[in-house]
Amino acid sequence: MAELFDAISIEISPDETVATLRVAPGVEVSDCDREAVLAYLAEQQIQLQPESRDAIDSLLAAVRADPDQSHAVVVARGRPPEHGRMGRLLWEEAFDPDTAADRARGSAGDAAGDACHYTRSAFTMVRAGDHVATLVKPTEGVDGYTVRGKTLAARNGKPAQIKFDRSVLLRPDGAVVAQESGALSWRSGELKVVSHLEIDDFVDFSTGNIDFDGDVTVHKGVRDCFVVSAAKDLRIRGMVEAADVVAGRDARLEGGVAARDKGRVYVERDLHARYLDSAAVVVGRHALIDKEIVSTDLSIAGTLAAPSGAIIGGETTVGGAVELAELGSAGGSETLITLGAMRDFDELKGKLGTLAAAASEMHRKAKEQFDMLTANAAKLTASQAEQMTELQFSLATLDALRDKMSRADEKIAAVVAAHTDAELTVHRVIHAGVRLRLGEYEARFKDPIKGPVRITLGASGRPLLTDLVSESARDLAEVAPVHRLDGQPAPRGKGASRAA
Amino acid sequence: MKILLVDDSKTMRNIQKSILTQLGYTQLEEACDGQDALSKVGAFGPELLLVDWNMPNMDGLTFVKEFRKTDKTTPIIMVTTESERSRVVEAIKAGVNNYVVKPFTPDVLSQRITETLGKVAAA
Repeated sequence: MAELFDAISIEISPDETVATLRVAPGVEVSDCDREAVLAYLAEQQIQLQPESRDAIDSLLAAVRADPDQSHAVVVARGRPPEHGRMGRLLWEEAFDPDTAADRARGSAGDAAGDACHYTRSAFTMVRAGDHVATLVKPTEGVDGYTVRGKTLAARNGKPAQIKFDRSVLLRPDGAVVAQESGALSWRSGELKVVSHLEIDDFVDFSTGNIDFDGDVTVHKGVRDCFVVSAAKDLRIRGMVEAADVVAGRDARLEGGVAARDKGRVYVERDLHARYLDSAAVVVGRHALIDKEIVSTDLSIAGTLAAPSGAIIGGETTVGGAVELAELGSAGGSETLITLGAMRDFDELKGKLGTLAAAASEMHRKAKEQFDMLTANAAKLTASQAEQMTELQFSLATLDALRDKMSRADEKIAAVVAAHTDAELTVHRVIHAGVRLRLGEYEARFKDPIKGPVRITLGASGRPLLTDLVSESARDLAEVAPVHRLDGQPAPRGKGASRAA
Repeated sequence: MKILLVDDSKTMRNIQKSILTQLGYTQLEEACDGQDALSKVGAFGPELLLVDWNMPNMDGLTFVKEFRKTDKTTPIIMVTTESERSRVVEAIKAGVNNYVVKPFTPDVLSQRITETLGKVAAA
């Protein structure tokens, strides 16, 4: 039988916060008393706690009951240190940049749970005044101690190293509030709201559609079926595929547009594009195109400049002057260009004309009935008298309506006249297959016309062709068949040549 | 000004509404016959009434007589056809202030309203 001091041992946990007393098998039972164990623990410098004595008693009882077995009990516990928490940003749920894509995926889904991956956005948009996050202060640490009473030092938390610019306000209570509307940017420890959204890659499934209340720059292209809408300027450095792009101010489409008859471009002010291919394009002011405009439905309120480019196929309507290297193609592509017109206003004028014709027809019928009743005025029945009142009212209303439409028509004509300038300059060649609408006339080019030439409306209102080398001008009808758009025969153009 | 239009023809009411709106009157209420009008005058409190003569359920003349039992002052303009012109005296005795003969033009109706309101204001 072993003596107690030979049979007992103390085990300390690696972090020194747990002391376990172990008794080996075969100990002399008569040696097992509490005082002896307490003396051993004191020698080991274990700091006893109120519950330590009970633990020792239960250990000794177990040893007495079965001395041939090993027994162990925790006789003392220390406390690990509690380190302070670091300062941090606690995001409001709607603005956590780390979960933006997940949120968008969830919100874009329909009731059946099908998500539209085009409409999800990986960007977190904020409005001025939004509470986007709270800056949580660091906390102090609480020291611990070992089973031998040694202090285990705790570390204090440190303030979060976050930079805020003027676009966000850090309130004294820690609330972080957006001061501007835009996209939330959280990069390299800096939080700000940017009014210029930059997309480093393509606009595709990784970004979703873009609808931004400011400037947008896309450093690559825009993939099929996506939409990029910028309330201000838009710059796309790569190619725009069969996608829709909208700019509230100017647009620079540096990689061109290849829309395959599906994509649309709408620019409120000026457009500068590398090329346009098979797109529907509307420009509110002026357009500058570096290369070709191919099979495109193009409407420009201001001027079109493509001094090194060509229009090949499609339909183009331009309010202001047009400058091109070539018009049409050597292969005779059917190309329609309308000069000095504003498509939106033309459509409005057309609708107004239809309405005016309908109003005139209604007026004619009402007048007929009214005249019949007037002829029989002395013998009108009560219902005929009522009908006549109705007809008088209808005629008065229709007269007022026709007056209004006539004034609107004059206003539209005045606006179009004030903002259009029918002039086409072609430096190299106008190819066969081109149809040119100018004023009341349309010219169909059957043979190529060598440039540089300029086509304008002459003083007589007929299209005039000026050779820019010789500076001589002649009626366009001398080089291409010209007819009036209203179907009336065009006056002969022979003999109209004159010095410019 | 609140104006009650009493006429069984919706088209006529629409014409009157349109003319009155152009004249700047926007508080308009409609009734399709005399009975309907009697049920509405209490709640609406009209300041002028345009009343047709021939209507189903209760004609314009009967309505005027009933209305005048409780309201002696609110002006009423009767809208009549030429064939009813001979009965205008009867209508005036019943309490009508003025009348318009169909067919009328917007100008005539406008003139009658102005004339009637002017007389009432001067009285």
